[in-house]
Amino acid sequence: MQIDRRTMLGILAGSAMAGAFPAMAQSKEVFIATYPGSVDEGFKAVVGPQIRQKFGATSAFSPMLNTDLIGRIQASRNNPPFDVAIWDNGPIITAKQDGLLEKFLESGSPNYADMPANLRDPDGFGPAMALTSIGIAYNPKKIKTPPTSWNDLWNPEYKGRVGIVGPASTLGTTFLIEVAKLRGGSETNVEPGFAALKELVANVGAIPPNPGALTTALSQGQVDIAPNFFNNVAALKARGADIAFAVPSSGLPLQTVTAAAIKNSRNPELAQKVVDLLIDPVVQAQLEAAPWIMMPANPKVALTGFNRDVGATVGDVLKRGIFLDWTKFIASRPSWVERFNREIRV
Amino acid sequence: MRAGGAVSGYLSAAPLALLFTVAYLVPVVILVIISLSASTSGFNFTLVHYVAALTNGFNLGILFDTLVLGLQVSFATMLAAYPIGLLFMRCGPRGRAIIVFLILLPMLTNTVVRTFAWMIILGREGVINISLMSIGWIEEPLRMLYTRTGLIVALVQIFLPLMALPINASLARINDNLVKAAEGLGASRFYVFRTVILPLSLPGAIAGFLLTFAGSSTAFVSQTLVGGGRQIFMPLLIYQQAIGVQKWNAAAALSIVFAISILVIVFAMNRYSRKYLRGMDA
Amino acid sequence: MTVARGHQLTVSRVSHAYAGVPALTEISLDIPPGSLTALLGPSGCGKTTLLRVIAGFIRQTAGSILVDGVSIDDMAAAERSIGIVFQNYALFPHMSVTRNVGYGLRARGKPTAVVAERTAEMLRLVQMEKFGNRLPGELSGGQQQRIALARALAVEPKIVLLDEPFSALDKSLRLDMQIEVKALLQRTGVTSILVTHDQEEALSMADQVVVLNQGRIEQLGSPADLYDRPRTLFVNQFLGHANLLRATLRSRDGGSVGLELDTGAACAVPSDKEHAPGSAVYLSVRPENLRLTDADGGLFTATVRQVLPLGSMDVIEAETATGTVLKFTQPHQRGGIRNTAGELIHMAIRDPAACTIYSAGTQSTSADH
Repeated sequence: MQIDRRTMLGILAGSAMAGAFPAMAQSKEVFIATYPGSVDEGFKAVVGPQIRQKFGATSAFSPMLNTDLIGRIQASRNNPPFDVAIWDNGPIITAKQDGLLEKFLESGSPNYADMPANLRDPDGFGPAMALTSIGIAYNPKKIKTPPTSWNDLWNPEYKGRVGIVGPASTLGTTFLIEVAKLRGGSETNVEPGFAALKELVANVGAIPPNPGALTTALSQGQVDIAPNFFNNVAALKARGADIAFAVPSSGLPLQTVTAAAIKNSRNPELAQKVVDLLIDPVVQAQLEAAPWIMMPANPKVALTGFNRDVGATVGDVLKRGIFLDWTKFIASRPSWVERFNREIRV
Repeated sequence: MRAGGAVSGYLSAAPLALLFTVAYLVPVVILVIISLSASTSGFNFTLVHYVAALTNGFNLGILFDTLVLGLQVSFATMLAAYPIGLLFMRCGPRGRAIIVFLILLPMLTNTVVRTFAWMIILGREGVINISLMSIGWIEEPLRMLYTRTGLIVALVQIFLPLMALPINASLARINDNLVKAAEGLGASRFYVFRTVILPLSLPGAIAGFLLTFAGSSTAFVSQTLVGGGRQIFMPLLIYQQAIGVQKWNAAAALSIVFAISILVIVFAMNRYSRKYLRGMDA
Repeated sequence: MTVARGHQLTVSRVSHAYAGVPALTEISLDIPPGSLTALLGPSGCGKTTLLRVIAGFIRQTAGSILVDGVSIDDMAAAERSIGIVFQNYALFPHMSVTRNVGYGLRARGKPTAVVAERTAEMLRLVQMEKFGNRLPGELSGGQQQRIALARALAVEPKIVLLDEPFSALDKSLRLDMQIEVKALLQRTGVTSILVTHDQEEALSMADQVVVLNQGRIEQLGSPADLYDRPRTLFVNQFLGHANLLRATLRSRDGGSVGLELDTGAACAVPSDKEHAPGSAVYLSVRPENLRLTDADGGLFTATVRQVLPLGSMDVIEAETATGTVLKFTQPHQRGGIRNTAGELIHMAIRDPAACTIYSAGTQSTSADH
């Protein structure tokens, strides 16, 4: 289906261009997989025009979940439906293992030099183009003392007002590991984390099925305090909701959003250029601004607005940040999901 | 001529058959293939995912609970639909048109939107809790969202049209004189309902029941958003396996097991009901 | 043979209107215990409304229904102990014959043994004991009719209402069933009301016939009474055929009046009611009261238009010189039909006393004899 669509888009775009500008009939196009929501909107508004301006190419953006993306590339490895995609920490490991990604040509990237070592893919598949941070979201009207630690969720005052999600999501996995670490555990030993979650049950008012639903529960007053992504909190706050974000004293868990070229792309050179473009300070600065409020990865970009709730600069954010090594626990995650389903009852 | 008619009949059904094959059969076959493969890269035959799905007591418990949820919702929806049907039966053509319109009205709104509406109604600071607290009936908000009862109420509302329409249709087909005859023979209202109206409307009720059962036991969006993350039903379990932890093959096997379970129940009920309808007076 | 265990039904000044449109106006009638009364009239005359009021399916706007002198107006249909046989029988399609017949008894909570015994008795009564396990859909129309009757009688109702019970049957079967049903009702002695638009059915079955027209009782009496002495032109025309001859009333002499037919002929007819001399009237003559005669004895002449040989009788349609179309009957004679189309015939009235005259003004004017 995707091939057909791509061919069709190519034909349509091609013929349209051929009619308008005969000389540009051979113009290239690049297909980029994004995330649903504001990320996709931001890419369309910011990245698309830049690609046309800088490379004279057209672009098409498709928002989808990483897992869906893996399935689509696997279904057509030799003629993948995308040239470039952005990846979360978990799925990119699967994509790398399955050989779906093209190595990043560092020498051809003027902007790569800007990137700190921990924002470069350890296996050389590309740079992080954005950061996602996790902290404590809370309703400042109901919770008068701003929380400072994950331990605050266990405060008996918050009985029935805490929301959590299970480890099937990045948010739930991170929360579980962070809690485990506070109780003497680690990325590979989440036993203390499960013990702590069982104690937390007394305080838990809702366990929504995914981070999006947890955000809704916060905005509707179903719960008043919960771990959440900074992006979700910022989006709600931008709309005037009573919500605030606190950075836990134990550190700010950070995820990277890695941009990578897809193997067997029809335009491999263009794909590499687009990855470089995504970490370009100009593009990053535009995506950092409202309404997209992306946390940029390039330290050259200044932070403004809500992003300053997390840190003064990107360097500051990275200093406070904690990166989890997903390769260490990705294999154990399915069992954590099942264990959470089985053991954490409200 | 007969043969020609038959051929053209088959031909006219061909587009639909093609659509069914491409849009339904092919994906199902692909799903079966994925479920029988060891991993997503290449096909290596294995039954390990089915063995896992069928021997994991926790997953089987979820499967059973999901089917129970479907039955609970279907029975509750039937209870809600019959009073509407009885009113429908008594109404003239205009009244009936209004009732059908009111039944169909919610369907003009997307199920996701209706589900969100239920979250707002049932929430801790939702319409019901705020109202009850403001008139002083309760002091602490009632827990309704993320509870099974709340979920069943929402699913009943969402699936009511699928139950009410076939029940109305079969009630409308009942000759009014049958009801009068029963009353004239001294039967109470309830006795007439139990012995005449209910059995004669069962074909519609069973059609509605099967639609509601299949729909509500697989209603991922409503189950997760109103039911929450703690009430794990098969759709959420499959979602977690596929999207959460990328175990596609296991998720496919669970999907097939779930689909077959629903089919078995639908098929069994269909057979039983036909038998029941035929032998109702034996 | 008849054990009159029936009950008296009284309809007292019952009126009913649907959304302000009157359907029944001041209906009063007495139905004696054990009798069969027919409510007869064209569609829309109110007979079905009256049946529904009696059954308790609708509440009349005014008036009262009494059984044995006690009002049943406040009783629901289920409490009235009135059995109903519907036009299409209304048998429960999902229940066997046995379950259908026993329905009313079960609804009243009778013990299973009693239900079984009574059901068997009723099936014997209607000679359907071999069909107990059949479903209604597997029975013929006549068989369904018997089951409907058995079901209505099983609960020993005070009154049985039969709503156009024979209209769904073939003509050949209809007469057999009419005889059978009448015999059954007589044997059980239950008070019965038959609603029908079929005058032959009403005349042949009922002890008492009530002719309804536009929500009012047009005439009430025995079948013979109504046929022989119809009080209105409506009843006269609705029951049997009436040949209407236009005439002018010329003289009155004690119990009889002298008429001048529009053909010019004169005749005398007994009558005890006032019609002003010179007024226009209709002389109604039943087909069997006309006879052929020779030229000397003829009252008027007519031209034969058609002859319909109906076995034992020939029905002859003829037209008078003034254009009135007449129907009369002649006993069939061996050797073919005596009269042929186009032939001029001479006609006479057999019995002037059996004629009725009506004012030619409105249709419902009272008749004189």
